[in-house]
Amino acid sequence: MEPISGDKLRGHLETMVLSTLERGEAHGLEILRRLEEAGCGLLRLKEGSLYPALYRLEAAGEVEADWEEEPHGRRGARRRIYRLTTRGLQRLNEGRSEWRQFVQVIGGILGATS
Amino acid sequence: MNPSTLTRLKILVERAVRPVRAGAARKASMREELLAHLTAVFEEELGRLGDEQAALARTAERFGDPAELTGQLQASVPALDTIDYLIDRLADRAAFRPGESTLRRALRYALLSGAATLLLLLVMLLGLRGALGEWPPHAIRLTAPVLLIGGYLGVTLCLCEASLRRLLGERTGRSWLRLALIVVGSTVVSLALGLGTFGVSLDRGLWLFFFTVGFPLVLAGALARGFAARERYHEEWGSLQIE
Repeated sequence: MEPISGDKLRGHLETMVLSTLERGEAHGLEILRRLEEAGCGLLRLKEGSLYPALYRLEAAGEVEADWEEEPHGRRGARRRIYRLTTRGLQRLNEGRSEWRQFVQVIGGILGATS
Repeated sequence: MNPSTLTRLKILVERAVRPVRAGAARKASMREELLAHLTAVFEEELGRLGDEQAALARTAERFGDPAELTGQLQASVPALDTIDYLIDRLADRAAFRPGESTLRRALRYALLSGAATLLLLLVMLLGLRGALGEWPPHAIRLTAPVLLIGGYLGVTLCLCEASLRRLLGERTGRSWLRLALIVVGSTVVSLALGLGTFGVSLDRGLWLFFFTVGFPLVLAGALARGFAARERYHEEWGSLQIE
């Protein structure tokens, strides 16, 4: 299978991030690991792009974040630990419904529904 | 990780973050988080590839195009943050220019506060002329000394701020002594200037002390922390050549 990257991911990244946070709080790199794991290595995301998505989610109140207390040797640079909020969980559920509808409609047109 | 590798990672971060039109605090937070990410990725790649150059190249590849990331970061900045951005730009130009000597800044502040005093005086003189129907001779005679005191206020503000900023960095007996000397020196000079012009009285002395030493000292205290952060940014990030 071909990797999924760039434009194909656009519009879904935020919902996918929310979905990874449903498994518990995490920093950026851990979120990427979870995405990679869930995408069976087929997701090709430029890692820097994750952070603007997290900032947008935070501004919308869908995730919360706190700085970790210790930089763990990363030359003084600390990570932020993100967690899902109630609003984020609601948005995730809406995103899942929209996706099911999308797959059903487009899949029906393409004759590719299972 | 050697310092040159860390610098190259910082350059990657700075290429993406520097052009973003956002307040200094938001950008500082972006820098720290992106650097923490890149450092962790680099260590992961170094462990896998065993070669620093290859690990750096792979880290940059995973990070993505900094110019593209700039656009995405910009889109994540709330519109209201533009106000913080403009205030920071103004502060960079007028209030604190990293690398500028304290003497030069004191002179600049003296000119700025002198100009502000002149503007205030002109408004007051025009108001008095309107009320009295003539230029008040007593007030005109006092213009030059008031301008001098106004300019001196700028010098005191700059010296107090520089001294407090140093004190924030190193709380030594010497730093405290320097601040005490500046406060005492400023008090003596401003009282000599003011009381020589307006005549000696306790009330005038107290007002002069408040306007030329107390007020600048409080303002300097508020500015010192912000300027210290700007100074640190310049040393750590602003001086990086990102082109």
